[in-house]
Amino acid sequence: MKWRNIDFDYSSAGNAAFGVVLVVVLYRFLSNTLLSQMSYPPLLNEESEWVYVWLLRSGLPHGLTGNFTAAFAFDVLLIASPVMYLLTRSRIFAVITTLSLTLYFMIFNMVIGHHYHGLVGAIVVTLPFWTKQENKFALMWQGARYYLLYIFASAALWKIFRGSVFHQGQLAAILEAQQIYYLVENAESIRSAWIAYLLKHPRVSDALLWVNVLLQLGFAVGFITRRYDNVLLLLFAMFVVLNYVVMGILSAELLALAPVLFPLRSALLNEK
Amino acid sequence: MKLRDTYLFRLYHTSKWLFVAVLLLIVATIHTVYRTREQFPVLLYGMYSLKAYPQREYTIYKIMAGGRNVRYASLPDSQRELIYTTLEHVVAQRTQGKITDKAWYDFLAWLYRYVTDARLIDEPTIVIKALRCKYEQGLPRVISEETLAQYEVAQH
Repeated sequence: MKWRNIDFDYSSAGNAAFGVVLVVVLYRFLSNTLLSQMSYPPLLNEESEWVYVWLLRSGLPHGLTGNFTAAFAFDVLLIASPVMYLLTRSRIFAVITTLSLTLYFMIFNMVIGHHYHGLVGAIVVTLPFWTKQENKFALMWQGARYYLLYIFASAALWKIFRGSVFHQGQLAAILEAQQIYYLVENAESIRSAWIAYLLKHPRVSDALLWVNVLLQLGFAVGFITRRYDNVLLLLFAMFVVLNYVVMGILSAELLALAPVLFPLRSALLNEK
Repeated sequence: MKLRDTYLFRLYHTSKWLFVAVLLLIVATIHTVYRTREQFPVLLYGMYSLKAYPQREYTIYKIMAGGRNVRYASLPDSQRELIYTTLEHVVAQRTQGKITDKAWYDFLAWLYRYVTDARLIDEPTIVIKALRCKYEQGLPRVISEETLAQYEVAQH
């Protein structure tokens, strides 16, 4: 099958986006980390970002995490809204999916005291479906694509401008701190031997870091042309695999943004 | 490329609202990059871009329920974040005197509830241990183990 033959229209893009969002939410459910599964966590953290501060002051996070019925109803909404979108194609369910996912994302970050970004991909990919007008949809879909490019290209630029990519032993130092739980619990595993090898050979791990930075920087090409989006999709897959093999991080939630790299039907883009 | 083919130009002529929203996001992102301090929903993606240095020692935490370890490595990512990121954060806050004893016990009670509710381990007590570790030949060695807290259902 030719790459250009798998172009997306509004409907198939919706299938891909909300299908992936549903998988992300179900994975959270299976991981016992939806609000009703959190067993009434205390919210002990001071927030400094004003949107988080406002949300906390509204009482909504306490109301949802401290009341099982409310939390359960919210979780049902979180799972049901992408399902309902897939079944009905109704715009309102796209809006509810985005808002409920954003609220879940923020409350989860409030509970753990760290603002992770993992779910952002799933949130951003739902935004284009707030409209049913195809020209607006196509532009928002392209906007989501630009956001994906920004995520990766900026990650490379931060490492370059902060000098960390030139810093000897950078990846080894990251791995020492980041993999220590795994290494203490599984000293004898093959994966531990692999990490120990990277720690003992900082030049190899630095080379891997360079591969990662170049891979991320490659996404900057997407700002100029869509011609290489198939290559970017491949780079995306490579990033996910490398991230898992080296860092032990499963970037599945970020993968929710992958559908935006599939070509949109040119009629939608209003191009000749 | 002609100006009329650019994304922002087409956005402007399709929807003024969308154009303003995207422009605001771009300006806010540039401002946030300059300040290097993000404000939701304007996010920065450094992905481990700060310079990292090896430490002489590392402290990690072990959660024991009924003598069995809640294994970090066997948990899905979001559950690791929920249990261990929260634990590390709350311990740091307690060390800095930012939370009261009551808040600390509320946290322990929650950790107990979560660990048992999630059916990770069904036992009436949990113990949190702090492990000091040092790297030797690419692998960490535990050099000391100290009980940080013990929570029993009957006590509270």
